[in-house]
Amino acid sequence: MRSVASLVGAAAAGAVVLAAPQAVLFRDITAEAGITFQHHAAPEKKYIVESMSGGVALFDYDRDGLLDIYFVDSLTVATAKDPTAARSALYRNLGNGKFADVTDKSGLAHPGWGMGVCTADVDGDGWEDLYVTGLGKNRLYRNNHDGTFTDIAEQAGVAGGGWSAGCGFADYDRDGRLDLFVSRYVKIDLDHLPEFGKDKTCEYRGIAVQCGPRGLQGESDFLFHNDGNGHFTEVSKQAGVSDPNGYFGLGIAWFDYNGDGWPDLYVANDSTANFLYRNNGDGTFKEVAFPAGVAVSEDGAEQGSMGVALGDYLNTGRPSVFVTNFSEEYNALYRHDGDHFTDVSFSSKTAPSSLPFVGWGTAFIDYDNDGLLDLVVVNGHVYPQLDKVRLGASAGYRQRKLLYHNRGDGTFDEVAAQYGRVMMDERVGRGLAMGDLDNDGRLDLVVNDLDGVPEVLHNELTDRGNWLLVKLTGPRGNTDAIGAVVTARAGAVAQTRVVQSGTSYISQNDMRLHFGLGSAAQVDSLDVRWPDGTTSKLTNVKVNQIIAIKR
Amino acid sequence: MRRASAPTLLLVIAVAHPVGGGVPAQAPDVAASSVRELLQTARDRMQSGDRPGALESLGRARILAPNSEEVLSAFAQVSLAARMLVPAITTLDALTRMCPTVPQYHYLLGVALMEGGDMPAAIESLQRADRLEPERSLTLMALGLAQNSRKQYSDAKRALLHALDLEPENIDALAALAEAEAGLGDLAPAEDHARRALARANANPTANLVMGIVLMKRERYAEARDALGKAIAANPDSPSAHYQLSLAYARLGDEANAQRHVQLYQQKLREAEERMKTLRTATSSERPR
Repeated sequence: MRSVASLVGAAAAGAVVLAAPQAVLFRDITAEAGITFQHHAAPEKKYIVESMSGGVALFDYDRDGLLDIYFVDSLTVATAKDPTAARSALYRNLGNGKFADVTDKSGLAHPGWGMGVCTADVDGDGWEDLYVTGLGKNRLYRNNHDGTFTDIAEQAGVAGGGWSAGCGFADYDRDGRLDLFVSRYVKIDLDHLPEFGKDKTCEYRGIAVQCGPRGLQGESDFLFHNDGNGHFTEVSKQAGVSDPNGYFGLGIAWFDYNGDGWPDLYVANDSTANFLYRNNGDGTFKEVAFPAGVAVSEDGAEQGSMGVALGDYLNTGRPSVFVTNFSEEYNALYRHDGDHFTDVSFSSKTAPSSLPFVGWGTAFIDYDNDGLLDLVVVNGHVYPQLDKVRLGASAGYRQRKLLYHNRGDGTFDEVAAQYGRVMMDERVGRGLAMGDLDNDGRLDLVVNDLDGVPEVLHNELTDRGNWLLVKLTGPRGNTDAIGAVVTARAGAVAQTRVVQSGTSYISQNDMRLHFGLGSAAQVDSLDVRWPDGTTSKLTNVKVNQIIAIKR
Repeated sequence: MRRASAPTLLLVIAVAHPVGGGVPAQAPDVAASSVRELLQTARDRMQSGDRPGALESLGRARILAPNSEEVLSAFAQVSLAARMLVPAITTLDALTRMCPTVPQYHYLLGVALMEGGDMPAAIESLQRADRLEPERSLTLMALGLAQNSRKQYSDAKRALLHALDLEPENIDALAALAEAEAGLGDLAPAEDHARRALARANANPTANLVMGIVLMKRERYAEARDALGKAIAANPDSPSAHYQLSLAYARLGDEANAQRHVQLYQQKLREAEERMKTLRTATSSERPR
């Protein structure tokens, strides 16, 4: 062993190489912003229902032009009978880097055993409403325009039941009104829970863990058709999206994958094949995930899928699909090749680094505004007991994030370690939402952590490109223009974005569309294809601004 | 899930004798002659192709000498040859505990776990075997196969290149190397190695599967369909080959066949899961979710 003196001598001689200073990308501003929310979870996660929450939403509930944050909290088996034991939270963005907890006034504190969240102006009054999924009844919180919300789920017919997870609004029948899809996970009876570690199906690497989802019965899914009179009708069976076999539904994404103007639907299912429902344009859908190539992994394995992100990462005008999965599987990148998708997870170099992690929230995010969509994933295992056993190739219970920089040639570099503690800290990530919290043109991230305080990560990258943020306003019935497709052309590059309600892992991104523009001095043309098929076009648009476009 | 190739297993069971280095046989003296006779009977029956008869003799020998390494080793290897995975795995698991420094038992356990589809556990066993006895091409090849199935393509490629250094003519290693390269997206070397494997064994299921995958990525769907058909002919139980073939038919616009192979894929997948479930229930080894 070397002596202390020799080590000191070596250091003095400059022989010890110090780590290079790390660039700042995201800074954790949670505490200084005044965010004190804490997600509740049973420490041992003895039941699957204690390990899957929760989502996070970025939306502007008070129409002041600033994104506010809603975190979903969950109960535990021990607190199940006390809805106040969980406190979801709404934070109002004050615009000076601070947020105010306005939960109590808002009436959003206690949705019950919360899971996910999505937003939309459901009643077309120009104010964002909130849909919260969970175990038991879901909530549709109507925005009262005064900082308060009223749960109208029962009267609107969208309360559902069972264990709901993902949600998203879209006008699937193009009648001008927003409909709602809700994925559901596992049938759970809190009075008859599967016994922790009871048999071999409730073991992981030889130790007792929670049971499921395999071995448990899955739940069907819901599609609520907006009747236009404040009421919705559940039409999943007629529409062909009910999932009668009860796959374990989690993250969802509405998008028009085949460009026919009708919203299609992707559903990430845990431990079972994923769904891609092609909209037939007549109120029905056909499930085409297998022939489209987005159902399972490249070698035909059903993966434990959690979250979904859509992104035109190749700037071809076609959104590809990224799906986060369980550990020792890989996160799947399905490249959109026109009439089908190709699993390019390994050739894009995103898969290998994902194998040790259980992935959840995810987003295509151009974090450096270079005009190429990058990728972020938050991770965390479901078994705290994992830390008691040797891990092999897998990470432990708490896991770091993954950040992929788009190289522009169809491949990505995993660069989280370049950006220090914020990306490398081991957490138990679940919901992830992306948006520009301070309207500075750089996309920020907000993460809901199953076991503790969330993370509000402010983008502070100094070496970045120009940008444009597009806020669409559609006609009454779909004022958010959900489903609209915007293409920004600058020079030879055309980038495409889609307005989405509900994405990532049971979360809601900023619905404004962000374009990183690199050194482009202007956007030559900005084309909008509205959900009703009409189009708008702007030319010679100034960069580094938030532009509002009204239909 | 991949299955260990037949040549591997033939080599595996060629020596149904103890390999030494472990706990001495503890059969009681009074039973020793009977045990020897039963072992000899088992060998004779194996040579005449009577695996059930051999197992019956070995089962009786086990009753007489339950801690005999020689008996357990023979029982495990014959069970493995007969694809009776649960007794093979449980016996090999016991042998690796009794004789932890014997690489052959770790290797055999790894192969048995691969056959059962428990790849993470198989990789651990094979890595132990490799540590105990480096530079053994069979172990390296099995490790590469298992790592391929866990998508650890870089590790698999390393192991398989090493195996081919030691045994350049090994067609299964060559095909598995092609699979690793295809997994990594290195299509040109994958195609080259798959073609080389097929030149020597045109029915090799892995090489045909890799050719199918490579041709799919090159959008040569009719050729991919043909290669995948050959892969399935050689290994009808492969969910992966059925899945890829369903994609090939879908790209060719043959919806009926695409759907038929999705159903076959799902059936093979369920069968594989049932095998895993049986293993999980019957064995005490560590198992993944």
